Amino acid sequence: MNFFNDLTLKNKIFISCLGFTLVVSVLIALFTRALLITGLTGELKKRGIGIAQSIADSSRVFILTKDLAQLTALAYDARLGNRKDIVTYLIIGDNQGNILAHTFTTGFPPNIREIVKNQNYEREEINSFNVNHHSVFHVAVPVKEGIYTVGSVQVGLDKQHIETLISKLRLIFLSFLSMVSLIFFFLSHRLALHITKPVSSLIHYTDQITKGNFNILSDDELEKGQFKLGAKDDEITKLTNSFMKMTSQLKQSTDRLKKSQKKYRALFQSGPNPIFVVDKKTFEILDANPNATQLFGYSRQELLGMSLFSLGSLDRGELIHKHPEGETMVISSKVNFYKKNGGSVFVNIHTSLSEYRNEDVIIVAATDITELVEKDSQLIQASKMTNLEKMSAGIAHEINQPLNAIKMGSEYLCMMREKNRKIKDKELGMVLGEISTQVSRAAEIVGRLKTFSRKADFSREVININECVRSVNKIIGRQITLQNIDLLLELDMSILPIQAHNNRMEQVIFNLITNARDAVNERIETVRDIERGRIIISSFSDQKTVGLDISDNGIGIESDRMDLIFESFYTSKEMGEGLGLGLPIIQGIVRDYHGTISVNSSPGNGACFTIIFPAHLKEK
Amino acid sequence: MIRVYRGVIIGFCWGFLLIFTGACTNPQQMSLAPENRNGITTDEILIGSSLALGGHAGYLGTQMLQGAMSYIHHINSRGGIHDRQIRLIALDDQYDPTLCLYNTQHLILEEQVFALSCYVGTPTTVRIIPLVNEAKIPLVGMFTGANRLRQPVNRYLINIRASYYQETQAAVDLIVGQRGLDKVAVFYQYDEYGFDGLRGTEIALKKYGLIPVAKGSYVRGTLDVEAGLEKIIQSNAQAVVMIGTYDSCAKFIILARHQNFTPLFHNVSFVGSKELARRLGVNGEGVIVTQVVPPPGPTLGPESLPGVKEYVSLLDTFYPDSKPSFVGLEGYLNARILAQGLERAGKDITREKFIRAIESIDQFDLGIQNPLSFGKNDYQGLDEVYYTMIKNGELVLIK
Amino acid sequence: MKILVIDDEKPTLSMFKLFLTAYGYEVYTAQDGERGLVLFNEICPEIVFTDIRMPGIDGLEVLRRIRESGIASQVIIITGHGDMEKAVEALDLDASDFINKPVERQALNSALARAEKRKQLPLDPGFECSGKQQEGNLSVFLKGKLTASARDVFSGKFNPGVLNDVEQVCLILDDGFSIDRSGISLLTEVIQGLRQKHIRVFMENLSYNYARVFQMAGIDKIAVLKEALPEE
Repeated sequence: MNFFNDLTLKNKIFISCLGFTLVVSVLIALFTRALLITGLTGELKKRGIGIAQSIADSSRVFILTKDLAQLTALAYDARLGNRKDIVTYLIIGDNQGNILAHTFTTGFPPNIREIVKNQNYEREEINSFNVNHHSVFHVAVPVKEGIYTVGSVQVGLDKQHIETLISKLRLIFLSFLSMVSLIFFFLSHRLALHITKPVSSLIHYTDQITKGNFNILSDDELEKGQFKLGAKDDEITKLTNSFMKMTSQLKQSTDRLKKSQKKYRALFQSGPNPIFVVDKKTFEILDANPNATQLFGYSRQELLGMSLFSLGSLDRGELIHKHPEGETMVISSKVNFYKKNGGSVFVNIHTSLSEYRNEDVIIVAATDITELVEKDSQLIQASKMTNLEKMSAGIAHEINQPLNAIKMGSEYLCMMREKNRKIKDKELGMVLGEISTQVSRAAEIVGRLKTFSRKADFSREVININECVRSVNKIIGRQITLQNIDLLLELDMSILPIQAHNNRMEQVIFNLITNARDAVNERIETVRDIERGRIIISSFSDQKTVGLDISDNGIGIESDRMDLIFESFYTSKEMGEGLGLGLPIIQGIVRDYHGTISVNSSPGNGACFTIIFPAHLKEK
Repeated sequence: MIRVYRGVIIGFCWGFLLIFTGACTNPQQMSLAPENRNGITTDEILIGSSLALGGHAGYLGTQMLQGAMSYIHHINSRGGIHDRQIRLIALDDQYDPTLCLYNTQHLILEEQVFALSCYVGTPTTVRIIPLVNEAKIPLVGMFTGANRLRQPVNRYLINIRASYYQETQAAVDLIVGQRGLDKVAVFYQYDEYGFDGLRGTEIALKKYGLIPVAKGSYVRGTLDVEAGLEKIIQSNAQAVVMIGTYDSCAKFIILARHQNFTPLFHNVSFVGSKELARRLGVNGEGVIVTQVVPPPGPTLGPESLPGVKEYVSLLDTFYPDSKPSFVGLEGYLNARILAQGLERAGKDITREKFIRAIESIDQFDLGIQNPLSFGKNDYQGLDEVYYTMIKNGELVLIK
Repeated sequence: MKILVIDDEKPTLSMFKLFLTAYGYEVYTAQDGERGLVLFNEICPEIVFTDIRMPGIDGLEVLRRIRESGIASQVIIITGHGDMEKAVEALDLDASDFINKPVERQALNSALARAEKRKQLPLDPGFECSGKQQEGNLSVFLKGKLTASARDVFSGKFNPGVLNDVEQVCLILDDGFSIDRSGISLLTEVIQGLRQKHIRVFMENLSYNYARVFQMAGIDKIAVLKEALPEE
């Protein structure tokens, strides 16, 4: 059985078919042969007895008369024609065992006398003997007259006759067997081939494909899904077709994979952004593209194995918790990273999960936005200076007030002293007190200006937006009031803090207030509407967000301009009054802090700008 | 894989080969028994014969035996063949096939003769064909032209005289071809011999596009010819081919003549022409008998054939009381051929060698004008048929 | 003499009060325009100081209403830095003078002096000018209110014939000289005409505040301005 197990499928099928056919054929042949032999032998014996009996009937009278010539003739008659083949010899004997007539011509077999003598004459008997090298059935039939036996007819039935028949049969059966075997030899061979050839072809193809060799099949063949395996429309063909489709898909996807791998490799290598491949668990850098090494000044070898966090102030929690499967997302923007030489670099961090050399990794793209950040900051500063310029008149006015009091107070004292006039203590005290108060007031104004104009650094702080509103109010609140506009603060004292730059937030609020003021003034000037100007600043917050509404009853914004107002260099003001950088910069700042800005307005009904920031939740 | 596959194929091939060889091995292993030398002794060759020496056909057997014995005596008197005397054992079978069979079995088994010879009659000879075949014993010269002894060709049955087919053919040739008679009737003995003649006549007539106008028959050993005669008279036949024995045929002709029915009567050689002529007497005028040997007899002239002369002289030497006859001449010729075969077979004779020797006889001159030839698959010695007509109670050779 | 000071700055008001009380005036103060006007109508002060920038009714409006009320008062506008545009506007409304914050004693004195002097003058003084040539130096005295209507009078002084030998022109302003927007234009036009003839122009006896106004009009770039010495 081991031998069989070792065979190929083809040979198994082949040998099984052949073996089965052979065994069945042989069994059929043997069975039929046995049946025929039994039948034939029986038939032979019957015929022999029949012959013997007919001879016995005819010979009775001649036995009694001892007419040997007639008996001999009778005996020979029994062998006439076809019977000669069956009847080897025929002996007619008397009741004494003497032979009266027989059909031997070439010589009397020596043992026959014994046989005849020992024969029981009273009844029919069939024995097997060997006479003259012939196997015979010796059939003896008694010849009776009345109830007494007068003689016997003994017939030698040639077994050879049967054997000849049997050998003929055997020949026929063997020919039949051989034909069947030959036919089945080829049939099963063909069958086995038919079944196994496609299968072995498939195996061959599969092996090739396993080795990654897709070129064994032309693209044409793959597309058509045909290759010549011989089978037409059977399960093998279906299997083949499925296999073809699978291969085609596999090849296509492998090709695509290769292409995309190439593409990604190229992107990785030549991409303008520094890209790191980082281990998902340890955050160890596994690979870095040339741009990364160039930007950070480390060699690739130095970078490998470093922790990503040692490069900059990246929030570990953010990196761990925010990576939705398959999506690229901005994890942090304007993250401060450090070069090898200590230089500072600002980057936007984009991450996506991926697989690299069978490990789960995070692809970290660190876009260098240092220049952008600096430009941004310059722009914001410039805008701030513009604001300052705009403010200068008001500031000057404001600062003039305390100065005026101081000046007048001190001039008064001088004048009194020059004229040697006595200054009342009460007056002196009042003047000196006033001077001191006014100096403080001036200093405060200057201080606020200083804060406002200061160029902010990039470190975010946790701030309360209400504070920003208040400090802006201090700067321009009075000016707004001087322009006959009510500036109302409706601040929710329970709002959550946000993470931002105080200075920048002030700038945002400042800009929005001045815009509102301009809108109110424009309404009053153009529409001659005597309704008093009003600007309401309200803060609010919910669980996660903090917001600020700055609404006015100014001229409003026409709906078709609503989209334009956040675009750079769009301005509603006359040439020279504004660069049109106000709202775009505000929007930029708001977005920096992951906030949104929106506006709700209609012409004549004022406008309401809403900015919303994510609340800074307490550290866990 | 290929190796396994090949191995399987080769295995199957061998298997088939073995099975086939087994199947083809003949179970009838014909063990070539040592050459049978029955009947051959240092100084004697035994020849057996069963023939009618008595009964209604006793004349034929007697004549035949005397003819043959005259030559055998002649040979023996001259020292025999290869220093062996030929001894012929003749048994009387009364023209009875059963007895003939019994005799033959006795000759072969008990007497252990070397060969058989000089059998007389169709039914008798036909009866012993199985024995001849079984014992593989040569039978040389039979007084019968039966087709059964010639077809199918049997190398143990060596015929010397022409067949009934040849005789009837000749008869029809004469009747239809020469005399231009087309109404031919057949009168035949209802047995093997008669059937043979009937078939021969019919075959011959068929060549002329004719069929017998009437067929009449009688039972062997009887003289009941009247019914057959009546049928033939009714047909107004112009000629009657008769295949029978002299007694019934003579009665037929005499009765026909008494009824003024006088067609051309044509008999074959087996009829026994001398006896026929004797019995017919005046009624025999014009009756034609075909012969397979030339007519012997006292009418022998100086122009007589040398073979016939020798027969007549030898018969006269050994059987002075006997008259030469057609049958006797045949017996004589049989003995000559037998002796020639024994001679040619050589001293170390076997039955097989004897038959081969017979086959070697070619253009052998018996002194009867027609040479005799045997050959492989040709065991018919003489093919010539002689026409004789009864004139004044004598048989006259006609051309 | 009653003086009304209107300013939204409390400290300023108290300082003014100190000063003016010390100068012997009867000082009233108001913290916005509305209350100031009410007070003005009540007490009819001779001199009014009003801050130009105030919530509600601003200084110019106060001036306008005072002029409308027909009550003759000298209104001095208190201006801040960069309020010159409004100051010129105030001149059109016949404001007496400006006083710049922070208020200096000299400017205060000067303004008070001018106000008191103008109080003496007729309400609508005509423009007069007289010239005196001394070698290449032409001195022209300007008196009264210079407006566009005085074009012929004023530019007649600088006929081409007259200026043949003139190398420099000296414009001497009278203490009661006043000017409005159209007057400033005319003055600028004339001076530019002179400059084309390569004649140097001096302006003398400019009040402290007018010097500021002219500076703002750009006259200081085409003429040499000489301020009047403050009186003691």
